[in-house]
Amino acid sequence: MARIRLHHITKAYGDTVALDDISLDVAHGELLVLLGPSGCGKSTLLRVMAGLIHPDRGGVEVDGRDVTTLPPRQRNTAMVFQSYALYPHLSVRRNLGFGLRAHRRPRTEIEEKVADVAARLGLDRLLDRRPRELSGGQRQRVALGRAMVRDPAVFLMDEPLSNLDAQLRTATRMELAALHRSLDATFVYVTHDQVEAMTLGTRIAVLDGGRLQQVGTPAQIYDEPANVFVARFLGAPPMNLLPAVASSRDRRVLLEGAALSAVLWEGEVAERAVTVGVRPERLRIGGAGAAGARFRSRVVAVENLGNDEVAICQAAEERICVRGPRPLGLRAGENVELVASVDDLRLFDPASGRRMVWVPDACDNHKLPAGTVHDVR
Amino acid sequence: MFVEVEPLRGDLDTSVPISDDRSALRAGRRHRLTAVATPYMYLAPALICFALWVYWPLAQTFRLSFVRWNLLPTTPSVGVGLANYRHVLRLPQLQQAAETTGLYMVGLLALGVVLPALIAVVTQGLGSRAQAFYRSVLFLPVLISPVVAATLWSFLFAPNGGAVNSILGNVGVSPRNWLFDPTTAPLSLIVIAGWKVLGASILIVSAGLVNIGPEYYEAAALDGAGRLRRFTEITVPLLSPTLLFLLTTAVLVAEGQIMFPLIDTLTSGGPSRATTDIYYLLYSLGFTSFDVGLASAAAVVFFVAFAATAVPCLGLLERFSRYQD
Amino acid sequence: MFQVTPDPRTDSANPPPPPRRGGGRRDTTIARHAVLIAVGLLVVAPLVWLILAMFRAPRTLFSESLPFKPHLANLAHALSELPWSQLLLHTVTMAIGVSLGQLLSGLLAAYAFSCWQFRGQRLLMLVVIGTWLVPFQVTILPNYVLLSKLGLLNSVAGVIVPQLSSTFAVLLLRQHLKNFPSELIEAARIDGLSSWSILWRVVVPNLGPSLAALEILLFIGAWNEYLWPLIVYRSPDSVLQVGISHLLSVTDPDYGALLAAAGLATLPLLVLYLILQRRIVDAFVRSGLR
Ligand SMILES: Nc1ncnc2c1ncn2[C@@H]1O[C@H](COP(=O)(O)OP(=O)(O)OP(=O)(O)O)[C@@H](O)[C@H]1O
Ligand SMILES: [Mg+2]
Repeated sequence: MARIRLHHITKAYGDTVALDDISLDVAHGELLVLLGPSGCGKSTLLRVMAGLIHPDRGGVEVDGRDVTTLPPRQRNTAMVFQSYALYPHLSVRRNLGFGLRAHRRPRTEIEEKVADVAARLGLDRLLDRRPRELSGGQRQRVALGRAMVRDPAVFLMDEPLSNLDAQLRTATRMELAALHRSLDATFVYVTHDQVEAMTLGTRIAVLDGGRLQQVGTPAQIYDEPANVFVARFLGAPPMNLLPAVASSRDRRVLLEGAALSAVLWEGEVAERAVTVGVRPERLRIGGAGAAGARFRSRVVAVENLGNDEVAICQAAEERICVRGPRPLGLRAGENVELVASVDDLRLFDPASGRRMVWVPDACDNHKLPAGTVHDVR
Repeated sequence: MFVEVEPLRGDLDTSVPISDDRSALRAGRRHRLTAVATPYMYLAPALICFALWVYWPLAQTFRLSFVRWNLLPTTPSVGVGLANYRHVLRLPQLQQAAETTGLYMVGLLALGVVLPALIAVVTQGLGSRAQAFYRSVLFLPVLISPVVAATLWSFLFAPNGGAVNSILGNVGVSPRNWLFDPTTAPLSLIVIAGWKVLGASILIVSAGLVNIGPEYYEAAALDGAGRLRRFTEITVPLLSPTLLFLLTTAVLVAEGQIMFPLIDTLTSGGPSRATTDIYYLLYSLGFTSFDVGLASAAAVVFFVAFAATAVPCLGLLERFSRYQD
Repeated sequence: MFQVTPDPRTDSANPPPPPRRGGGRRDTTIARHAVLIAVGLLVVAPLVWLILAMFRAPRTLFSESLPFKPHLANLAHALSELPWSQLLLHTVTMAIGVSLGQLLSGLLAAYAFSCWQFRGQRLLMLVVIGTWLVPFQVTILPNYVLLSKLGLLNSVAGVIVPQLSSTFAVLLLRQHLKNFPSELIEAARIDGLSSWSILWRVVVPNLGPSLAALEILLFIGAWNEYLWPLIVYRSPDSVLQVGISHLLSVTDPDYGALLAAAGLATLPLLVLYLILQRRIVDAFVRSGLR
């Protein structure tokens, strides 16, 4: 059992605030992915959970016990480092057994567990080698095995796949997912690779500048980004974002922008600025009469991704990308009208960057859908 | 109506405060205490040693500089205020010793920094085989203790049949008693000390040059920089930490550590105090005059002058090594 | 008809010839060798002189004739003039004790400086570096008084104790430890090691060669140390350096015996150097790079 709760964790290094008031609840058995750009505080947060760093403010709780000031050895956590941090002077066998020896377990138990883990990870024949005699993938396995041997309640992983080549990364990713399913442990996994985050995580926590941006399932994060940052951070290419003005005419809400126009749903709204977002793969190349949003643009370039093609277009002042199966049938220099259905549009408040949802006017304030906070009309 | 969504769907129940488990807290506090004390415990052996044999004696030197005492435990020391300092500043030997110190410093600067730097620069870029050979030869004087060097060179400088006299005799220089002639004795000591530091300094500058790496020169060559420009704009600035280190050791450390044993074993400060520098003056004041107060006051005066020279050097050195981290 | 697509490998152009190494500068290379050979001769000649003189007959000590019949009289004199077994025992004890003490205290201090952040860190670092500002000669008298109060005068222990920590060792090891991968230390903490065990089971095994090299440098320094023995243990049977300086200080020294003694006193270091040459020079050179 291990449920980890972080309460208002704050940590600063001099003037840089690495973690800013982070609260997070990780359920037992979860694989929580910490995702964010370089320098956003992922590793720092992981080290706080491991007990390698003490937060300036806030507390860490594991299964109801305050462990904020406990040293790492009393926390029953294991960690896999980005550089693997294998002990260069020890053989694989001794690397694997190191933690158990440090905890003064009996020799026979250590040998058994090491043999068991080595068999599971296919390391049997490498046990007497030194780390520098291993390939990158083998080192990664040893690092993983060193964590598994200890049977920890919590696995902390800091970009464990970032030093592997693309193919090995995919294979190891699947193995990690299988490992997570087979072990009764909580995983916290740091990455800045969104594919890893989407495929591995039961939930994803997106960080930026030491602040938590959004926590949710991969689908939630991708489909319902909480703000412009999350919308831009995920997706390849990321969500298209364009400025527009929302207003209503004849009891219908409309969007007007320099290169876009859309007829949305029934309702009344005072004229206001919004940011319109739409995923590149949700844009279609316009046909006549389709309802929804229309974007008038000119193709600048077409990129070939192998299976898909991405067309980069200029819509007034903004760049806008379309992604679809190859061939898209677009050529540079062409004028094109792109269409998206109303359901695929996401609207953001330009000032705060946060996503907005439409609440039908009949609905009164007491019955707001769960998760909404305040009226911004 | 548009409504902003709450960004955090963390299923987080922040309403329940972190559990108030006192025992865990207490255990934690103890750990924090030991964690705070740990680095100081690791520092203790070195710091105690420095405190006992450097800083405490330094403080004692200050204290003793205000008393009159003859080093005998049975006689009490008497406070005399600044009298010792007045005495020191009027010591006839002081000025001569200061001049000799300056002479030694210039000599060590020439033979321990400037000449080695020049040699290293003009010989830079030899193959690694050849370099390894020269390195192992140039290092040899480091193994030779100052006392052994003194022995060896007193033999070479011997007035009757010494190698120096006979070699110079071949080019028509009349034989001299190098170490017992007030004009040549200080220079002879500089030659010996220079012999001991020259090779080592060449090695260090050469390594510093290798450390600069060819890519800077290539970049500069692409920018169209000529030989001289490359030297003044790349070699000199990138080499300056190394040179500064040499300067600090050659001028500040070498005189106390190498020159002093040479003086003590070869000339005892003579002839007619021509080789007595400040270090040796202090030492002989302390152990021959039996005037502890006077010796201490001289030590304090010297310490202040020395620190005033050395602090800028060390400060620069620390700043440069910071850049390299 | 099927047509095989061309093999892309045959397509590639011939690899460009490897760039020529900057040759054609033979004369400057010769000039460089000439400079270094001249300096090398200057450095080595006195040592060669020393070794030759050791084996000359005492009467022909100052002659330069070569070759000559080796003579052992100088060595015999040297052996009879000094209490060698005492001197060697004292010197070896001192050199080992001092160098190991400096290595250990330096290692612990460097570990604290590079693996922790603590209050007063900069100040304590200044305290360490500041010892360089206090020349030995400034503190001679109080040190002498302190050592005599502790009853350490005229003993090897008295020579060892004041030298047990070295600023040079602290600074050099701090540099080494700063370059030590911090994730390795974190991994060991997660694995449950105390900081003390991390030092001995993770840091030291991986710093092995650097520590050995530094130990040898410190050993050479301690072997050649003259100042402290001069103050603490000033008798002909204390340590080698003091013993030789006693022979040298008489008005008309017996150069034959003296040179033989000097050669013998350096012999252990020369043997060490022959065995571990590259290591020692590397360590020395690196200690001078900032
Ligand atoms: N020991 C430290 N001293 C000073 N600043 C630090 C330290 N460790 C981290 N930081 C700063 O804290 C911020 C967060 O660092 P962190 O290592 O957690 O980033 P990260 O999200 O893991 O980035 P990456 O993806 O590049 O690993 C950065 O701005 C970094 O510069
Ligand atoms: Mg990181």
